[in-house]
Amino acid sequence: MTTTPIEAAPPRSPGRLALARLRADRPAMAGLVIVAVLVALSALAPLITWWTGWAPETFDKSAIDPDLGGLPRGAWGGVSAEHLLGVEPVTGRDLLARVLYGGQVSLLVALAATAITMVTGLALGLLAGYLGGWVDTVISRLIDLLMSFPSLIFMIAVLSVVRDVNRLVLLVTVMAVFGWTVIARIARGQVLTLKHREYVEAARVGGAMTGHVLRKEVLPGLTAPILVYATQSIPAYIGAEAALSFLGVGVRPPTPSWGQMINNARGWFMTDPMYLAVPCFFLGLTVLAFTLLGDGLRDAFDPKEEAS
Amino acid sequence: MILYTLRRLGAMALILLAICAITFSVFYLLPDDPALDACGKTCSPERLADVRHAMGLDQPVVAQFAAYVTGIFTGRTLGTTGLECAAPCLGYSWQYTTPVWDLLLDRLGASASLAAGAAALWLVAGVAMGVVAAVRKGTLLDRGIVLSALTMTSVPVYLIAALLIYFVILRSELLPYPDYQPLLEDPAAWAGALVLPWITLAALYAAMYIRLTRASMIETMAEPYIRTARAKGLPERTVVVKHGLRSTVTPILTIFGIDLGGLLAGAMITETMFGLPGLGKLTFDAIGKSDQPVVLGVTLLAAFFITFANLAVDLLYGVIDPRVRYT
Amino acid sequence: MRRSAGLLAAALVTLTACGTKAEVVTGGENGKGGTLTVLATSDFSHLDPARNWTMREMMFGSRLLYRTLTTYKAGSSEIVPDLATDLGTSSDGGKTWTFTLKDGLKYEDGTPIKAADVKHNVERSMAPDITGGPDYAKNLLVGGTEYKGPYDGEHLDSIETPDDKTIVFKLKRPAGEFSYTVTLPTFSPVPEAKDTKVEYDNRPFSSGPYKIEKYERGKELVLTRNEHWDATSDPVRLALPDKIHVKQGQDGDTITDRLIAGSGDDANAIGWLHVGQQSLSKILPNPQAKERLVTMVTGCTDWISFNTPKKPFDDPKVRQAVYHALDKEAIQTAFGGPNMAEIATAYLPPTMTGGAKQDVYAIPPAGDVEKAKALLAEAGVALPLKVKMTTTTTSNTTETAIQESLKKVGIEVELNPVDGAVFNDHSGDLAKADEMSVHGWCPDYPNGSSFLPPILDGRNVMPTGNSGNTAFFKDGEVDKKIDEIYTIEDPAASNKAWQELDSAVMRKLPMAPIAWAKRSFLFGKNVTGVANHPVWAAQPDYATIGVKKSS
Repeated sequence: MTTTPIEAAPPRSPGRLALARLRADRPAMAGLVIVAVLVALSALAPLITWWTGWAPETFDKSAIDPDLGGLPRGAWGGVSAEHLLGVEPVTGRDLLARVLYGGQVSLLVALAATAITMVTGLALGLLAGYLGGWVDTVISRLIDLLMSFPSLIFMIAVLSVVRDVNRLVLLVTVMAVFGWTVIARIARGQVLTLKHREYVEAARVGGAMTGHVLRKEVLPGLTAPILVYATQSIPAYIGAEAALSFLGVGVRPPTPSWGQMINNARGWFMTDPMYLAVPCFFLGLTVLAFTLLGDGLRDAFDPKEEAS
Repeated sequence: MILYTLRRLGAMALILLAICAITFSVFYLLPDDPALDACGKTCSPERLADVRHAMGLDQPVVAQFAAYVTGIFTGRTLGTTGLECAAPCLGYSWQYTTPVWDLLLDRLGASASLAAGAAALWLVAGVAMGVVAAVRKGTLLDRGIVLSALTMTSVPVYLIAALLIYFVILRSELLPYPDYQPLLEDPAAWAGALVLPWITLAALYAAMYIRLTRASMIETMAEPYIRTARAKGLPERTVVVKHGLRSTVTPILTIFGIDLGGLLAGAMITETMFGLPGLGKLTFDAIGKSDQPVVLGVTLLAAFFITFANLAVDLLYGVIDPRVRYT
Repeated sequence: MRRSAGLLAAALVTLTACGTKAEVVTGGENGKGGTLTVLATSDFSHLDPARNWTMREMMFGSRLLYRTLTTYKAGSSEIVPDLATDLGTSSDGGKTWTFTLKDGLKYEDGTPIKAADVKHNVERSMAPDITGGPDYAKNLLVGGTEYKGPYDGEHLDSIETPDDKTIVFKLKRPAGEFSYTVTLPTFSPVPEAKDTKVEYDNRPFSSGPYKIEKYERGKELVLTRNEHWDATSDPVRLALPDKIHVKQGQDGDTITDRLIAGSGDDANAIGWLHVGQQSLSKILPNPQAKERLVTMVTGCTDWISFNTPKKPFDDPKVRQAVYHALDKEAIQTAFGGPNMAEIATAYLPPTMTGGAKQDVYAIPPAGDVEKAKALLAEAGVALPLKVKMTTTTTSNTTETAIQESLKKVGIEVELNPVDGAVFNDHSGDLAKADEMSVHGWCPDYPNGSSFLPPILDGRNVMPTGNSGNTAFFKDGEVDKKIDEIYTIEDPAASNKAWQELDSAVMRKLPMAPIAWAKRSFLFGKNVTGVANHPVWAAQPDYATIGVKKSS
């Protein structure tokens, strides 16, 4: 996600080749299309809810049965011409509106956290591994410290300390602070292993510039693990946001998020499975799409693939 | 090697002290006043002052921290009624009226059982399926494994737990409802209570390990030295296991150490959903009741496990991959 | 399943009567023996009688582990003598109260219960380390505010124990309601020799029908019979099961699902917590589960507090306009519908008025928009009127429903979400409080003195930290009336006087009552004698619960 070879690369570069390979990869292109559609739907949420007439926070008393603990009236969780995906129990809020707005939140949190994590982790990991010396010492100790933190417990503590701050910014920040270390460590580890391999030593002896060695020799070797990790990161962050919501410190109502919706729906899954199915479907589809895209990117960037 | 280990142990102690200080100051800044929580539904300012004094909260934060760290080594006496907290004193849970250390020891068993069983399950299943998928890349088997890994990663852990509880316990009554007992007291109840939590946790991690192993393995198998090995006429099994898997293990081991260390206190949702009396459940309850000494204690214990796992992994590198040098 | 028909009837009785008239059903097979399993999500907050101040834990402790000077009848808010021989005699105009203990009362080890032991527990409840307990003793007894507990050798002179059977309390003010006050666990015996101070919470020494065999906090509590408890001295506790096993740390939704299924040992189980609204949709359409559900109003009232010193709600007409505009049906829906809440029309809940629901205004449940508009015009308020309402960041469906209904009369409510941890600080701060906020109150015993003075007495209003009188309501007439009612010694007469005060204040309307929350509890098919208790927030009364031999 962080290596954007499409812009950086000159004609006929590995990047251009990778793009061509990606175009030919049908599952990856399907993933890309789904991601694009989901992003577009989330972005157009205000327009769509204006058209349906149901904002994500508007109650609909008539859509639920107060005598059954607020169960939606009608089959399929209250699916009707009025509410295309049914309604939330108790409040009667429109599920389509909530799942679209929730998508904005979940995607934004996951993408932002992944981007920050990857850039920071890669940069610091490469610096530490390649430069060595005191830079390595400082970064490695910082990584050690952060990786030794039981992050979930600590995140919960931090999230309940800080108040009157934008929850989403805080959530992304907290997740990114703990997230970058894994990728940095992988990057550093790979650099250390590569460093001792003959071809890098050879390049060094040949007097090649540091930047050149990084770009030509080290980065390509890192593409595969980093892309796999990045594609895992996006759904992992969506999951982390959900877990934090489950423990009561994540995204707060009335702002919806998929994780929070799934958590609320858990207790209803026997009587109103639709309430659980809608956010789960969107979550599952997003995870699948990003993973397909990521796998495709990995294959595309890894010329060694063809050898096997 | 010995010098390296000693130096790492020293660094570990420093890291734990740093974590202790950071966590302590974060809790000191929490909006909840533990004295106010303890004091009761209505609390006059005079009574609150008394309670704060009894809980030692009227001391400056540095003094509180010093007393805490000293208490770990020498034990301490708390409150105004001479409450004993023997070394290693990690504070006192006012919620459970028990020293935090005793609570941690009591809950460790369930968490360790959960983590060990789940880790064994996912490591074996994950790596095996990952290797198979890599070796049989592009076949139907590979696609099947990749697809199930994809599905498993996209299902949140509490959903897996809820579905397992519903279908295995409530609907088909294949298992009784988990009633955890320590392994040595009642092995049958122990295993019975842990089967579903093991599956729940392992499903989540196995999916990740399949993908990781597969990606790493595919890359390794394309390395020139594998080609050399093949050219030498070695059997394919030897090539895969001895040469391929060996260098794939390094990144997996890194992640595994971190995961396992983090899991001891981090299986909060699984333990909560299955009612397992482990450290994660203890933490979950403590956060809900602002029982900060417990949260602090678990944070420290978990940090200890994680640093220890990291050290163990680093030492193992040398055994597995001779190219890594200790400096 | 003949018995189940009876239970269904019992459930209906409690549903409709919702008050002190709830009858205890003891089926024909309801005998002694068996193990009752209690499924709980987490540990008790406190079982130490000096620290126990949450409704369900007070029920559990004082029904099973310790006896108090007086207590409630099973499933009723009527009080009867427990340790004492009568409800206490007062002298000195209600400022001195004397109780005599029954003969032959014993602890779990067979040693006699002495009056000094009750004194000791009252004293220890005031020690700084023994936190969390009710503060009535501290506030009522002469010298209580200054007293710091018995552990440094000091004793409280305002409690006298002239002999092993007699205990005398000297109070600061006349307290006609003191017979109710001594139902609190503070007034149960703790022998000094068995007092483990802070750690007494882990192992209270029993004076009740059961003793603690095993207590692993957060995991389980096992109670077995206290052989030294004498059934003939006890008018209330039936002590039917041989053993009570509380399993803690279970997931809430899973507990409900297990109880609905009710298979195996779960047939002998009862849920410790009330079921959530998401579970009602599973239980109500399921006849075999529905007959194992008991429901009652909690005895707590929720209301909107108006910031009465501040414009625009310093004008009673504007407050009344808001009250008329409220769509209480929509608010009830936000609470979870008619099964989760009743519409409130007064401050005192029906559990405290013998079931009567006072209604001074008689507004239709969905509101009276025309009347509201007329009142606003009368008050000369310029529309749209903009006000702010404090809410928490975690839950605000009730507030959203209020916001929606006030929109119709031209009042624009802006929600001000603050962190749950600071909600009370913010809304209880005279300088910082917004114009409106939603609050509630639960009484500690069914007497108006535990309800109206904490929320209405203007002399309690402090610059910050107001948690009862959140409307900052100051009215000299009301304060005077409160003092008058304190001196009434006849419980029936004083309750009537509190109800009259309720109606009088409703006309001034410092707070607008909106809902009386209900709670439903689910239990297995072998569990007998389940009835909600009106005093302890509708918690089933464990004094009468038994386990039928499984067939």
